[in-house]
Amino acid sequence: MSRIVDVLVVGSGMAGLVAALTAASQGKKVRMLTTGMGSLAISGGNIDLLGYVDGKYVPDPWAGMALLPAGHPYRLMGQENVRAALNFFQHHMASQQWGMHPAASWDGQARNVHTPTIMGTLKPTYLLPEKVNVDALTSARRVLVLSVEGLRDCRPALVVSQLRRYKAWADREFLQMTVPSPLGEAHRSASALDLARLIDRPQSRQWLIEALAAHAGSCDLVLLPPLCGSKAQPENWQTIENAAGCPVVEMLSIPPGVGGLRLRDALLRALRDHDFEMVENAKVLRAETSDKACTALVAEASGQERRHEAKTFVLATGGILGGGLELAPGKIRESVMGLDIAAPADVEQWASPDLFGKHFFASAGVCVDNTMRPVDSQSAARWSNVFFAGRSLGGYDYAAEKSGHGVAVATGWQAGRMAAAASEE
Amino acid sequence: MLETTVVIIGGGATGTGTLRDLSMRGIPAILLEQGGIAHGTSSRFHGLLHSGARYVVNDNESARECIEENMIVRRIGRQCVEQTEGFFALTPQDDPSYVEKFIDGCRTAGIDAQEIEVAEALRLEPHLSPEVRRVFRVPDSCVDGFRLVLHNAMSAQRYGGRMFTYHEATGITLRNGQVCGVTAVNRHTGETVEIACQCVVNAAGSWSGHIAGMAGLDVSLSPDRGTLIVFNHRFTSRVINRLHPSGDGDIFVPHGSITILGTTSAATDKPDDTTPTTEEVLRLLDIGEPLFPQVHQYRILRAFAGTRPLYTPGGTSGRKASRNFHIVDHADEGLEGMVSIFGGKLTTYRLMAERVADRVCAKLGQCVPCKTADEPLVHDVDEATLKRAARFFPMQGLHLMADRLGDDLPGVLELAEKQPNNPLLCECEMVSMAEIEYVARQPAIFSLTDIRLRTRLGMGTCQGAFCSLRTVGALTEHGVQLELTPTDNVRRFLQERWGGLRFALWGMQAREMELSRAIYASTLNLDGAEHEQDC
Amino acid sequence: MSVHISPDNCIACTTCVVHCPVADATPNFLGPRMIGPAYERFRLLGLNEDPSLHYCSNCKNCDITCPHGVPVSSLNMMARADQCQKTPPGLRDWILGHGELMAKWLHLIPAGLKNFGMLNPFTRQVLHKLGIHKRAPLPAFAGRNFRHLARQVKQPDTGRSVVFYPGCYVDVYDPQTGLDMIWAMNRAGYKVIVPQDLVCCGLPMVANGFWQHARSNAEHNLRSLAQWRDQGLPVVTGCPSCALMFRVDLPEYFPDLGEKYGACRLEDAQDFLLACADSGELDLAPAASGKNQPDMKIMYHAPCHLRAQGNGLPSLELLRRLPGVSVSNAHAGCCGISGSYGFKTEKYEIAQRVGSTLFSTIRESGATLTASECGTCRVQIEHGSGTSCQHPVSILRSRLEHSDVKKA
Repeated sequence: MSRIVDVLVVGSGMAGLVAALTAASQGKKVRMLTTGMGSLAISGGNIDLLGYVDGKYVPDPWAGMALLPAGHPYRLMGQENVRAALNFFQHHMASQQWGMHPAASWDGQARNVHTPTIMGTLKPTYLLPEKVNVDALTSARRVLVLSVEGLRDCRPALVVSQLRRYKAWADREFLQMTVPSPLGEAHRSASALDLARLIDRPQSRQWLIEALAAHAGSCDLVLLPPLCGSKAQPENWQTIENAAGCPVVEMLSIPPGVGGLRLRDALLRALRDHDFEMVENAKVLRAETSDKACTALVAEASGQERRHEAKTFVLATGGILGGGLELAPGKIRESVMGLDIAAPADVEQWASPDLFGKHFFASAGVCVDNTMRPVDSQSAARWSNVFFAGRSLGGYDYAAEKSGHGVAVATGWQAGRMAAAASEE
Repeated sequence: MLETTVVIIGGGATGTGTLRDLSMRGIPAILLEQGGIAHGTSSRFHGLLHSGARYVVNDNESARECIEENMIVRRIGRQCVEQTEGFFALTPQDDPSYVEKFIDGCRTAGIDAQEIEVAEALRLEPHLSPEVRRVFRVPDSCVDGFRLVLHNAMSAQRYGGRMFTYHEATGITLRNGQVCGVTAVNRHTGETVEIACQCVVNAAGSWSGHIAGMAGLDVSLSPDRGTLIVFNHRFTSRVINRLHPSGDGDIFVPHGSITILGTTSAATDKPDDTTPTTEEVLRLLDIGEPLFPQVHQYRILRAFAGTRPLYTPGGTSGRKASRNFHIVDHADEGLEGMVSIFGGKLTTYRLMAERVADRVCAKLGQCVPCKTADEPLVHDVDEATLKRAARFFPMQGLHLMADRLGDDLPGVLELAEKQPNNPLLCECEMVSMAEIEYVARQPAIFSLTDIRLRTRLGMGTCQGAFCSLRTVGALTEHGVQLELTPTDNVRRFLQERWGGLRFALWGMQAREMELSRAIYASTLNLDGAEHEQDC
Repeated sequence: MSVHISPDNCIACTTCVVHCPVADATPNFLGPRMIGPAYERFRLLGLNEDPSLHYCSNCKNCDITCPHGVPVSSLNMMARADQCQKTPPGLRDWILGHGELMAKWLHLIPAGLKNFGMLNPFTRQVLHKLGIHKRAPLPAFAGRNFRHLARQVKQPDTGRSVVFYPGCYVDVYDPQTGLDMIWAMNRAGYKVIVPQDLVCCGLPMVANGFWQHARSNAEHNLRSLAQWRDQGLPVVTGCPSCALMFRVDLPEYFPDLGEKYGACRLEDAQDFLLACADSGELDLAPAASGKNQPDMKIMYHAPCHLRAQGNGLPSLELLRRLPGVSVSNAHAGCCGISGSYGFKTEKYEIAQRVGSTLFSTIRESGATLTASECGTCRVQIEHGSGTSCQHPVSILRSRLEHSDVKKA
C-alpha cells in the first residue's frame, strides 16, 4: 500500500468511523486500519451525551457540560463544537434513513431521557433513533414487556419487578409476555441479535408480528429487547410497531450490541459514497516519526509488517477495553505512539474499593490540546499531524458519566476535521 | 430453646467433618457457622490435597498423616478430588543438596516419590520450565475445599446432623464451670437462637481464639494471611511444587478450568483479613517464574487471601509455626464440656474430626467407633442417571456438574426435565439454569455468592459480567426470591468479584473489567439508577 | 497436540459471535466464542468435544473481528484435529481434503472421462451417499494441470523473476487463471517461475481433520520455498487461502517448522501487481484501439481469507484503475463455501444461507461480471448467483490483452 492517503484512521469504533466520515466528506482520501470490529459490535444504538457529573444526574447535558473539569474532552473542544459534531452526526444518520434525535422536554429543550434497560433499570441517554416514540415512555399507562423463550438476557418478570421501583413507573399496569422461540430447539441459546436477524427478513418475522397482534389494543407501549432488525432499516421497526398497534421501544441491552450494529451499518454505508478504504485485521504495531510529525504507521499484516504512509493520522484505538491503552503492573501505555500515561506506580491507587467508585484508571488516557493532538508536559503538541479521538483520551469516565458514544462522536468529528485541515498544509 | 448433645462452632472442613463424624456415631449435634458453608479458610487456600511430600524434611510425622489421609479422602470424596498427581521440580535457584533429604523423608513417611526424566516431565507438562534439573512425581492431588465441606454437610445431614449457616455464635453459657449451651444470632433476621447442649466443639479455625475467648479462655492463636492468584486457564495438569524447603509462591495447583498459585505468609491480627495486596501478587509471580517462565503472561482472573489459624503456644510464627493440629480439652483449664481444635490443614481434616469426636465421645462416656474413613461422602451417580442428564446438560460439563452436585443431582435433573429449555446461564464455567435454580431454592442460599460457591457461577473468564444478570433474570422469572433485590444482588456480586480483581488490574483482565463496567455502568446504569428511584 | 494456544485473550465480548456467518445461518453452531476459547479451557481437562465443533467453516471472520487478537479459528482447527485423531474422519472428508491427490491419481485418465467419472449422475449419487450434497457445485478437473501448461508458455526474459505458487485450485481445476497471472507478471516485466515440486498448502486437510498430512505437505513446501527465498526472489500466490495458510496458520499450527525453515514470506500476487502499477512497471492503460471495448460493470467480492490478511483489497484497487471498468465492493460478507465446507451434505444449505446476501447483492447490482481471487468463492458465486465470476487478474488480461494484440 504505497499510496499515501490524506488521513489514516486507526480503529473502527464510533470515534474512528465518525473521524473517517468527517474527513472523507471533506473530500479527503481516507484509509482505516482496524483490528477487530470496534465498540459498535457490543454497544447500544443510542448516543449517551452526558448523564452524570460527579455522580449527580444532569437532566440537561448541555448545562451539565459547564460543570465538567477543564481537562474533559467536551471542555477542551468547547460546547459549540460538540453541538456541531452532533449536528454532523445527525445529518449523516438522516441521510442514511436512520435519523437520530434528542427527546424534548415540556419547554421544547432537548434533554436526557430515561430509557428502560433489560434489567429494569433506567438510564439517561440523549440521541435516540427517530423511530423511538419517547413520549410514550412517560405517557403510557399499560405497558407490555415482551421477551422470547430462551433469550437468557431478557426476562419480563425481572424488568417489571425492577421498573416498579421507580416512582414514575410504580403505578402503571404491566403485562408480561414470553413468545415461544422462533428458532425451535436450537443448540445455541438465542441472543437478541439472532432474533433481530430474523426480523431483517420479511419471511422470518411472522412469529413476532402474530404475537404482538394478539395483544394489539390491550396496551399503549411495548417494551422489548433490541430485536427490531440488525440493520439501520426503519421499515423493520415500522412493521413491528404496526403489528403492536402502539409505540414499541427497545430496552437497552448487553452485548451483542444490536443497536450499535445499526449505527455501524449506517456509518459504513455513508462512507461508501466517499474515497474510503478499510484494511481489516491490521494491528498497528508502532509509528514512524520524524522531528515533529508522524510519517507512517507500521501494521501487522498476517505475520509480516506493512507500512502505511499518510499526511495525517487519527488514532481512535479505544481505551482499556479496546486495547488503545495497555495496562501493566505500575504502567499505562498508549499502544500506537507509545505514549506513557502518567499513573501511580502502585496499582492499588488506580482503583477505588467500590466497583462503581471514582477510579483513576477509568479516566486515565492521552492528554490532548483543543485540536486533539497529544501534548507534552509543556502543553505543546507532540506531533503536528497526529490526532486522538474516543476512549484513548483521558479526562472522562464514559461509564460513570454515561457519555461514551457522545465523546466518541464529538472527538471523532473534531479529530477528523483537524486532520483534514492539517492534510492540506 | 433448641436442644442437642454437641454444638460445633465453625462450618469449615473440620467443623462439618466433626458434624459428620458425630452424626455417623449417632450423637446429636448442631453446627453453627457465621457465614455460608466454608466461608473461612476451607475455601480460601490453594486446594492442594497434600501427599505430605512438602513436609517430609521438616515434619515427617505430619507428612505421614498427610499421605494416609490423602488416600482416604480420595476414596471417600471422589467427587471433590481430582487425582492429578504432583511434581516436585528442582530449579536452578534451588539447593541440590536438599534432594537427598527429600528422598529420605519421603521414604520414611511412606510417600511414593519417583524421579522421572526431565524430558518426560516436559512432555507431560509442556509449559514447565525447560531449565528444571530434576523432577519427582508424588501422589499430590487437587481438592475442592468448598465442595468437600458441602459434601461432608450432605453426609452429616443424612445421618441427622443439623447445620445453621449465617448463625454467629455470640455466647457460651456456663453453669458451675460446665458448658450448658450456646447463644447465636441469625445474621439475616437478627433473631437470637439458644441451644442447650452438653458439649461444645470449637472448630472455628482462624476465629477459634475468639470463640475460646467467649468462654473466658486465652489461647495463643495467630492468624496468618496467605495470598493466592487464580489464573484464567489450566496451564498445568499436575500440582507443581518447587523442590526446596517450603516457601512463598512455590505451588501451582490446577482446578478444573483454572490454575491457582500460592501462597504467601504474613502475620495478621484479624481472622477475616482476606484482602490481598498488589505487592504480594507481584511477589508470587516472581517466585513462580522459575517453574513457569510464562507466568507473568498468563492472565490473572483475581487474587484472594485466606488466613491460616496457626497455633503458637511457644511464640513461633509464620513459616516456622507448626502446621500440625492440636486438640485441647479445656477441662484441663477448669472448663468442663468444651473441646477446641487449633491449627491443622485441610488434607487431614477427617483425622482431625475423628480425634475431636473421639475426645467428645470419651467425655460423654459413649464408646462408638469412627466410621468416616470407609463410607463415601455422597452417593455415586449411576450411569442411567448420567444418561438421562446428558439430554439436558452439555456433555463437556456433565461430569463436572455431577461431581459438584453430589446428592443434589437427581433434584437438579428433575427440575431440568420440567422446564422447556435449560440454557447455560454461565458459559465460562458451563452452569445451566436448572442447577442454579435448584441451588437457589435451598434454604441456606441467600445471595448470588452463595450460588456461586455451589455451582462455580461467575468464577470463569467473565467474572460475572454476563451470568449475574442472566441469573437474577431467570430466578425472578421462576419466582425464586433471594434476600436482596435482583439489582442489589448483582451489584453485591460484582462488588465481591471486584474485590479480587483490583489488586491485579492489568492485562486482559483489566479489559474484562472494563467490559463489565461497560455493561453494568454504561449500559444498565447500575451505578446511577440506584439513587434515582424518583425518576 | 503438542502446541496449545492460550485462550487467555478472550474476554467473552461476543464480537466474534456477531460476525460469525455460520452462527448467523444456523442456531446449531454454538459460535466461535464458545467452541473456541471458552471450550479450550475445558479441553485442557480432557473433556468430551461438542458436536457443533464441526460446524466451524474456518472462514476466519472471528479472527478478523476479534478486538483482542484471539486466534479463534486456529483453536477450532486444532481441537478438530485432536478429535479427528481419536475418531478418524470418513472417506468423504478424505476426498474433500485431498483434491490435489485425487487429481494426481486420476491423471492418467483424460479430463473428459475424469470429469465424466466424477460429475456424472451416477457418481454424484455415490458421492451423495458419501455425504457430498447433490447440488454441490463441484468444480471440474482441467485437461492439463497448470504446472504442466506453464512449462509451455514462452516468457520474455526480462532479467527479473518472480516465483508463483499456484495453489491446488488453480493447478488442478483452473489453470487459465494461472496462465493469466503469468501474462500479467510478464506485462509487469517479470518472468514467472513455477516450481514443479510444490504441493497443496494443506488448508483443506486441516479443515477436514487430516493434521499429519497437512504437516507433511507444509514441511515439503517450506523446504522448497526456502530455496527461492534464499535466492532473494519474491514468492507470490493468487490464492488468498494459500497465502493465509503459509503466513498465519502454519506458524501457529507447526511452530517447529517455522524454526526449521524460517518464515515463508508468501506474497499476495495482486498486491505485488498493484505495487508494479504504482511504480509504473505495470501499465494499466490499454492502447487507443482497446478503448473501444464496451464499458464493464464489475461486482467485487472480497474473500474472507483475503480480508484476514491485513493487506486491504489490492485487486479492488487494480480493477478500479482499469479504464472503462466500474467496480464496486459487494460488502456482503462470506460467500459460504469455505473451501469444501459448502459441498458437504449437512453443510450445503448453511453455506447457501451464508452466501444468500452476496448472491442477491450481485443479482440486484446488474453487474456484468463478478470478480474474486478465491477459486471456491468463484464456484460458489457462480452457483448461487447464476452469474459469471472471474479472478481479477483474468479480467485484467481480458481488458488489456485485446488492445495489445491490436497494437502489435
